[in-house]
Amino acid sequence: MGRSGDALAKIYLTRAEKVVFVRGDADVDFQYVADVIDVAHHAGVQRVGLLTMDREVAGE
Amino acid sequence: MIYCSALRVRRMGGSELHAPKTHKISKVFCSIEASAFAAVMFVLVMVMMISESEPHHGFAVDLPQVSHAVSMSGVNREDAMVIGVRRDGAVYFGAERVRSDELPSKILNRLKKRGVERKVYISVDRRAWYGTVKQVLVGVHSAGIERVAFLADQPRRASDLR
Repeated sequence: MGRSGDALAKIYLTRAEKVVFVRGDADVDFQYVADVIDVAHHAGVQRVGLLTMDREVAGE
Repeated sequence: MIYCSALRVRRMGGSELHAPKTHKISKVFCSIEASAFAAVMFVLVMVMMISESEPHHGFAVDLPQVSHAVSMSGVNREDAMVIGVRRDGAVYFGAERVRSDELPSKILNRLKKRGVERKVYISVDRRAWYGTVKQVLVGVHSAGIERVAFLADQPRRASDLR
């Protein structure tokens, strides 16, 4: 699964809500986003949120 | 740059924000979470294309390669809603070239047909910009669709390249 997948799997092992949010720059190739979705799904994440309103998460 | 964050939805501890647990911090965190859901929240999966033949939807893309894609028969249905995003940013709904802001009306129109699955399959070229995909997702979300599957290929083995 790789290091990032193993880390995510560990994080989500004990969580009831298996949700992840992905934020990516507009000029990123989709292949990288697909990799993230794939790894998250394989790590047990059930819902993936793709953030589209960058302004909304600026205060995070 | 891609950021992937795992947020606690119910148990939002202050320690995650490197601050003491206070009611105020929790409220701020909640509002971020709510706006994230208001953006685009999907049940997303990567779907493996099983068929090697020419797709029936009329546009050609070089699909991303992922390791854990699942197979779904729905994508091969004749009435499946398939959106294409080509490398040059062109967007297709089925075989028809459309603008992203036309997608909600196209989807709602298709949903009027009996038996159409309330799910959208998106076929994105691996080198297409994510910004274009975001615009498509906003359109899909506006039509009330919550289930989205991205089409993918499995990585090629060295033996396949010989």
